[in-house]
Amino acid sequence: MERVFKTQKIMAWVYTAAALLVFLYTLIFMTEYKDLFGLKLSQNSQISFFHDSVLQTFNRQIFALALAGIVMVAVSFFLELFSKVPDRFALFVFLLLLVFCIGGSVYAFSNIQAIESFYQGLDFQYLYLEGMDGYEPHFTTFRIGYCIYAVQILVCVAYGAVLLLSHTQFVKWLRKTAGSEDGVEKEKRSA
Amino acid sequence: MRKKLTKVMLLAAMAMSAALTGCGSSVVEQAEQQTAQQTAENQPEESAGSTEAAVAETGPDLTEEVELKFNFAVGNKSRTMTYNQESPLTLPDGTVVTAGMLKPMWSYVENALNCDFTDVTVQDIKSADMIQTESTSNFSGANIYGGESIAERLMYYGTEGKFVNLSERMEAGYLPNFKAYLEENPDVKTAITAYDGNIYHVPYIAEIGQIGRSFVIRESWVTSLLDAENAGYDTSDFTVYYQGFYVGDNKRTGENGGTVTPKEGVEIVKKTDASIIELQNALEVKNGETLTNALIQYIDENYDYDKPSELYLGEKAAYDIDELIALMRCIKANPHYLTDGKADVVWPMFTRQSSYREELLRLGTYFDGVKVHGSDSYQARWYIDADGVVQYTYAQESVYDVLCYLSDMEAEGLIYSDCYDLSNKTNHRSALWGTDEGEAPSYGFITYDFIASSTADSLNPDTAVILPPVAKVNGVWQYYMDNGRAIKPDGWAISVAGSTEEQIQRACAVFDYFFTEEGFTLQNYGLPMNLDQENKYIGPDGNEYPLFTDWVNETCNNVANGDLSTFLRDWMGCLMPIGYQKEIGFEYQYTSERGFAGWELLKNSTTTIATYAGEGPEGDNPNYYKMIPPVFSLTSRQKETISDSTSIETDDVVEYMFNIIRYKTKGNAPQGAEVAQSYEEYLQMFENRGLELYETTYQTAYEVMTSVN
Repeated sequence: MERVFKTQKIMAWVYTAAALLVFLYTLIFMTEYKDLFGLKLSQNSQISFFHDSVLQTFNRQIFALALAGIVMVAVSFFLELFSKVPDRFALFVFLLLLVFCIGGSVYAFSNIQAIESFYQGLDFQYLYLEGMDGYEPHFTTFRIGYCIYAVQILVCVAYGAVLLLSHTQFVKWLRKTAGSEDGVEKEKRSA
Repeated sequence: MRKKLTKVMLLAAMAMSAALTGCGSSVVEQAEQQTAQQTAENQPEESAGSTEAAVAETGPDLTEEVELKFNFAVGNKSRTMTYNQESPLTLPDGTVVTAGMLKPMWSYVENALNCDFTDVTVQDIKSADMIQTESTSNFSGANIYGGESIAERLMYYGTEGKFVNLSERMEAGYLPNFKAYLEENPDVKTAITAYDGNIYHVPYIAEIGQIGRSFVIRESWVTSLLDAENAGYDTSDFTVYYQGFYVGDNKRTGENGGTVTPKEGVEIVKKTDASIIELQNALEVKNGETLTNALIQYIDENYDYDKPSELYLGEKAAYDIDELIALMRCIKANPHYLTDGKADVVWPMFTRQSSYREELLRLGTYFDGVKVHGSDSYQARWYIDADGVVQYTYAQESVYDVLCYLSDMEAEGLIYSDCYDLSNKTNHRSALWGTDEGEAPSYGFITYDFIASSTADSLNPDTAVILPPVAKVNGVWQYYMDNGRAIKPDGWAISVAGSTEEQIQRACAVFDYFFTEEGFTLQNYGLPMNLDQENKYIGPDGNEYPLFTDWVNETCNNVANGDLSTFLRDWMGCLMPIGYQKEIGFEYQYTSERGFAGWELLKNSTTTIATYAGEGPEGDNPNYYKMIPPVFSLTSRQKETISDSTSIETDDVVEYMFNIIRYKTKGNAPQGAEVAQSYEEYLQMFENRGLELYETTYQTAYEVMTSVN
């Protein structure tokens, strides 16, 4: 049981690191596409739609999710998940939040795919009309996004599993301890 | 308990997933929906649209008086909508206009369109400063903003949503007369359409298709120099620098301009390949007498004219740039002879003001058709090449060569030395043509300016229009003037932030009014009471124009020294650079007989001018004769690129060019004045200022402008 509890504490920090990573990612998400800001010509309307509507909207969404992830770190402090085995309430609340987090990551992951696919289909040939010659599409941010959200999903699943395990083992241990204490009491009484 | 917990968690997960995924749509679909929703919100409502469409048929609804505020700045308080003269003006109907009131034309429009006009302009403010200031308050201080040389700003702020989209309004049925005008004049539409395909301002359109500036000279100087017998020419020494253009392999003979046609059916043949410049330069003694005699002999040997002056004067003129410079030399070298001893110095060539010094560069046309300005404006430093791409002219080698030729002319004293100093605000034309009878007369010979004002009797009764030099232009020997009347970068637009829907509709009605017959006549000629209702003026083109009443002419003489243009602008409020089409009929009515003769001369000749349609003799570049738009509509990125990475539009570039004219040949540059000694050095200056980026940016802007129309 102690090993599980130690793993729980480690996973709490791993989750914190993952949440910070995701938060940082959302901060720099648009950077690679900053060249596409301020396009005005109708020839580039799809690109400005991509930048101003698709990317901005998505960035706002994942930023909100990342903030929620950071709030979850605070909640885990509040629920003392860094130092104690979760009780039933803490387990319930945090597992719920982890499910939310996983849902968010799945959402982000799948939308990065959709955005990447849209980006690949854009026609960049008229960018020179707005002073951009030889624009090459960039995919690094998307690739990093896949990794980060995959990691976050795994971390959330693992963290949830560890919390559940930690709680159930602790409950078992409590029962076991309580059972052995009852036997001692009975023995004492019969003696 | 465990089962219950699991169920709750599952439900929560499902709810959250559904919320996160936007009920199953991806972020791309969500963005598309949002954009579609925004577009739908911005579209005028259908019912409103159908009501508006009726405007075209019934005219604007003028039943209720609407207040409209104008911020119309031209940097001159006399030229605003407000009457700023010290003395009141009494109109023929007894109305008295005093300082601070609207000028009569604006009061008339105010009544005609049931508006309450307020001029909120800071009366002396320059247009650019006004726009700069007002942009900080989102143009909320007035309903209509306008002025000179602000079309690019109006377009830019229009694309930013600060000014009303007139294209949408026209689609909705407003501005029907302006819309019809644009349909008839697609070149105007192209010139004022912003990069997003919309129109945000109504421009001031000069008499497009008409001749702009032309060469005007003192006629008697040519005849007395070239036709007089036993003339007492001056004998003071003259130093030559100019080596000639039609020399060496470029001698003018045979296929190379040996025969030219100034007028249909008239062919002028130059018999030999002699160069007057070489002949004059070869003279052992160079003075007024020898230079002039050499020119007369040259004309006699090369042309079959009755009088030598015919090489320059009248409908058979066939002089080239070398022959013009040769004549200028004769003039420069004969100051005492030409002025009856009144002056020691005369100036062969000058511009009206120092701020017009770029007019000198238009001589480039006559050095094998070098394009320096693509339009009337000195900012139009572009021409359209054979592929339809705009090219920056000032950095071209051919322009540098022209500067060097002008430098030779300057060294010989052929160009008025005060023309270069921008701090000199003198009207050189008045000084050099209008002081003959004064106590300290100054004398000038030729200028390149508008016919009506240059041939005014009050200025000098000796001035006359001549044909331009004949030259190989666009690969064809012809008579060509690269200065047609243009769409001006002036005009007005309607503020979004400063206007209610009612005010926007009424402002549209005001804009459109000047494209109705009534508004057009009003702005071009004045109030109905100022025009003869029974008689018309027949112009030299045979067309009928409104005729001014005697009251106009008399009052104009009394208050504006007979300058009808100034009277109509400063007293009546007409002919302002607002959005309207100017008509030539007004100008005809204050043109002298010699001016008409000049118009006649040019009209009957084979002279081609630059136009937006760009028609002319077929040559190397099919776009040669096309004028470029008055402004280019730049996106914010493009503007940022120009301002951050280039410095070509600064005034010192022009100064740098004029340093070449002033100092290169003589090598007398003052300390600190940079003079390019070679084209490589000249080009380097432009490259250092970001020429490539600058050119590419404008080329793409032009490409967009032409593609959205």
